[in-house]
Amino acid sequence: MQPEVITVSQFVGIINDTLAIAYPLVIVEGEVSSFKVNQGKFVFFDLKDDTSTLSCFMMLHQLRLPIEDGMKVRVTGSPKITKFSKFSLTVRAIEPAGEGELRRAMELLKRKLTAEGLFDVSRKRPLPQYPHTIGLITSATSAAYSDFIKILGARWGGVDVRLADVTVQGNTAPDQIVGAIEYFNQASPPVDVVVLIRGGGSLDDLSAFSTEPVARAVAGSRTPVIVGVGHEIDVSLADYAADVRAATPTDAARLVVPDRLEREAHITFTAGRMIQAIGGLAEARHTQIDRHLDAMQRYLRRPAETVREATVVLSRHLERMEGSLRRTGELTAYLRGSLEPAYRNAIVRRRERAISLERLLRSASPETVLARGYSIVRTKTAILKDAAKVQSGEELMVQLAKGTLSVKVKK
Amino acid sequence: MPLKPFHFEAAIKELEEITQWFESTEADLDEGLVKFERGMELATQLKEHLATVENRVEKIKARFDGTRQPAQPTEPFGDETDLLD
Repeated sequence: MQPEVITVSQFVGIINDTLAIAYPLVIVEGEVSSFKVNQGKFVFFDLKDDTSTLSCFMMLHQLRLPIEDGMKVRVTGSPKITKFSKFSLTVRAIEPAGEGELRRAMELLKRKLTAEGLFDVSRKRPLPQYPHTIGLITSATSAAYSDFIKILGARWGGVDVRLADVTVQGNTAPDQIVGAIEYFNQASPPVDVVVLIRGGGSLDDLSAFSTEPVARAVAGSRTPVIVGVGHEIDVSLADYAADVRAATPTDAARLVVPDRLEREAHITFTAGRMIQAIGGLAEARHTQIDRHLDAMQRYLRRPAETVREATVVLSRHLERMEGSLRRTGELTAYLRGSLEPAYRNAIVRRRERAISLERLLRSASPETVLARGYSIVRTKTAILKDAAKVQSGEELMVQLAKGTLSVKVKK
Repeated sequence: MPLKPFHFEAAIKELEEITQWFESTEADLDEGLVKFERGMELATQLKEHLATVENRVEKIKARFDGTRQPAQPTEPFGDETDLLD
């Protein structure tokens, strides 16, 4: 049987179809050599072992970790023959083979991003002190999630947590994490802070947090980001890129909200300072009232001729004092329970002293004295206090409680 | 949960400012009484807020994968010589 005659293009097509069916996806491990990037988007390198070499091609944006010659990698891709009959592997994913290689790749990426200034301290922004909304990026089924929520609730309340449930390891993790960061950056209403957390794991488990897209998304976030990945000793590149780095998910909860007990103590202390200060003001007011009281007492000891004048002065003092007392009285009402009993007693004592002085003042007024049966005798010019100072036949005025008499001196 | 939204940050700042005013030289008892009453009210509200309010968690329905999946690799046209090693 004569084989069918086909064109070159048809043959290349048949071979590619055959390869696609036989090896839709292969994973090949080898050492990278001749690594290069063309036109800023195409990546070419060879994968080698002791005896063979395999040409590889991929798009630059699919490269999650930096690769360099000599690095051992595991490449996932599809074999293909080009129209020039060159056999190559079209790479979909490339990852370092083993922890040592992963560390090396991370170190390379870290150096690159550090050089770009992505991890600069000057880029770090402070977190809001009292966030209302938190954009939480983690796996909803993880211990990291429940630990975070538990500690958050123990420390603080009134926060809206908006959870972006993402895969935190594996090939799809970086895209989901980046997508969630972008979601929160565009969210309406916006969130106050983004929290990215994951529990502990192997270096490989945590590798999504050290990929270039995640590190860039964290650094480029408009909303401040706090990252808490793994245990204390685990440091991912996302940690370096974050505004605040938390050692663990629990630590992230401690850093993102204040502690209600601490805040309560602060409120008590601040209000206490205010109470103390107003107590001092009240004390100053007491001193003022005391001065009025002392002045009133001094006037009361003066001779009778100045009683009228004293009445005027004392009324003025009383008036002023009344205002002071009323206000300190209002203060007493406010301070009930919060003010030292000594202050309250001081106010009460002063009020009592003022009332008794007022009574005394009333009894000392000329009208009160006249009502008791005394009279005031006046010459044309002054109050008469000495019988020797009037002449026989001189006219005097006698003021009684009711009415005035005009009299003549006989002797 | 409080019925009206309570702005904790603004309230604690106001209380701190009132206390600072009391500790300043311009403080006067008559003016202070109004401020004092406000300060005590704030301290009470703040403490009530701390004691009663709980956090809420809402899971976002949107999915975060797929949107950024890069296109499958295409061949670099006109650059085939790179595969000739």
